[in-house]
Amino acid sequence: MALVKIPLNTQYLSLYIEHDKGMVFHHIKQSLYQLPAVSIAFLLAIDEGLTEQRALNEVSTQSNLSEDQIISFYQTVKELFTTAKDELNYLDGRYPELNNVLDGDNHQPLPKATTYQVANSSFAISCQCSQLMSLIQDELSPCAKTLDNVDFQIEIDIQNHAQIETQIEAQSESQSETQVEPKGNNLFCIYSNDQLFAAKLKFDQVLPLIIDRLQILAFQKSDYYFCFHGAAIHTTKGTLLLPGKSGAGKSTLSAALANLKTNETPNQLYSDEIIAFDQHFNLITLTLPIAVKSGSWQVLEQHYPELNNVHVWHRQDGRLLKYVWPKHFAVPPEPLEPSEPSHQLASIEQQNANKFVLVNPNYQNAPQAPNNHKALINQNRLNKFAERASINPNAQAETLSVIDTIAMLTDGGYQLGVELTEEKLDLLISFITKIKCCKLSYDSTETALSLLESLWPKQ
Amino acid sequence: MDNNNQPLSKIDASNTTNVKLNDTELKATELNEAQQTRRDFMTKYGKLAAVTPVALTALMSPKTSAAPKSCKPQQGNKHCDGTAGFTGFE
Repeated sequence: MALVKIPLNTQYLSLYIEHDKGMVFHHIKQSLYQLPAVSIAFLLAIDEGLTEQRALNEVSTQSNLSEDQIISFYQTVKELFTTAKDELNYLDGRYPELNNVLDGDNHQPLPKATTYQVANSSFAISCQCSQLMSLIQDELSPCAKTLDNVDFQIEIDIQNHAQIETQIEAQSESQSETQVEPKGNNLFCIYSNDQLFAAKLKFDQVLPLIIDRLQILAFQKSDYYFCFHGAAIHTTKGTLLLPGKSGAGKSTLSAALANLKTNETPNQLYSDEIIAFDQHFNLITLTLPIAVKSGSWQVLEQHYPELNNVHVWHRQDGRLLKYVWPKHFAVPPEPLEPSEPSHQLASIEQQNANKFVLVNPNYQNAPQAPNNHKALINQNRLNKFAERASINPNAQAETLSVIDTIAMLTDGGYQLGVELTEEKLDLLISFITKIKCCKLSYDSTETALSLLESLWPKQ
Repeated sequence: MDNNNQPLSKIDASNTTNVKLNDTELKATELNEAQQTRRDFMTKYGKLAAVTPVALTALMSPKTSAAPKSCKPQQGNKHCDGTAGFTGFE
């Protein structure tokens, strides 16, 4: 059953139904909710003006569930029927440095800063530690650009040891648990346009946070409508979107794909972390390196031999990272003139560029070899098991409904650059309805790449 | 269906004696059809109803909109450090 919109009596609610699930958009709260079947039934009942008792009685009769089992659903749905507005809107809480706009001479890069351009945002990065600055310059050199003025000044300062120890002593008096910092190592803090955004960082923790910050700030300035956590790669067959939570396999797949060709033409990366669409569903390119977690170093070495030599960085949760640069970044299409119809595209390749396939990666570790309890593992048995694992029936693509796709996209992390209205929501729904959406379960990058090939619409 | 739950008559284009519906009657017909659609769906989803863990899940709201790599609580990003002094991407 395709997604259908059900007209309601309640003007500030819009209901969408697909199979046994539903979504309701609250126009005043600018919020979208997912509903199971029982909540849909109650929403329709309340919208029709049924009393609580009658609604409970009817749904109970139809579902064979007791009123006690379903009354909480009724009460929750009933709370939607309010015209009270929430305090926040989508444009609140933007990154503080966006409100701390540089003016006058502050636009000029600080002495000894290196300047960078990412999308249509510019950055000057300076650091009190020359060794760290040298490493940062090496890692970010492909996006370095000589600039006289910048949007953001990123300053990496060495935190004062005496101050840190005083802070720790003050913390230990008020809290039962205290993190004791290792002595003898510098700790760093990072400012963006004079706003402190990270502190007490070890040497190897700095660059990952810098790159994360650049990724976020770079698209904030654009005219994006929707932003989701994930990778996007342009190929001659179309654009592949890989949304999903951290650790799902996006960066590994996108790194592998970015190094491959389709129809003898190199694939091009938009970003390995940020899928940011404008109102025409054009993607924004963020020229920043791909973060490769330690579990994927061996897999990706065939594509990126430099993985053997680059610096190992640390996430604050202890995960290890290395950074690699794809060979090619996607060049966004020229913006359409207002009078130019969108169907007048120059070539078939341009037309293909508008085709999307959305794949939610679900990497699952290959089944472990059976434990033989005693010392040596039987290599023959291990090989046979590995062979069976490579044809694991779980390596498959499962089609996602529109509602499941939206739930997956938002669960992985999202940001809206505009206030959410019914019109904008319908724009997103219309886009998702037109493209292929699936969840890809796999146990190796090679399996995933060959499955991805089969997902493109036949020409 | 009309207000008496009787099926609406099909309009026979060849029968020139059919009376054309005016705008008010057309709107009333559409409203009745919409009402019946809602009732049909209410019955359908009542039958499909099963107890699920959550009655309502917020998918998008101003409270949960935040850059994907930021340190908002609901994102559960592992790299975020909750210790004092770390402002994260707030």
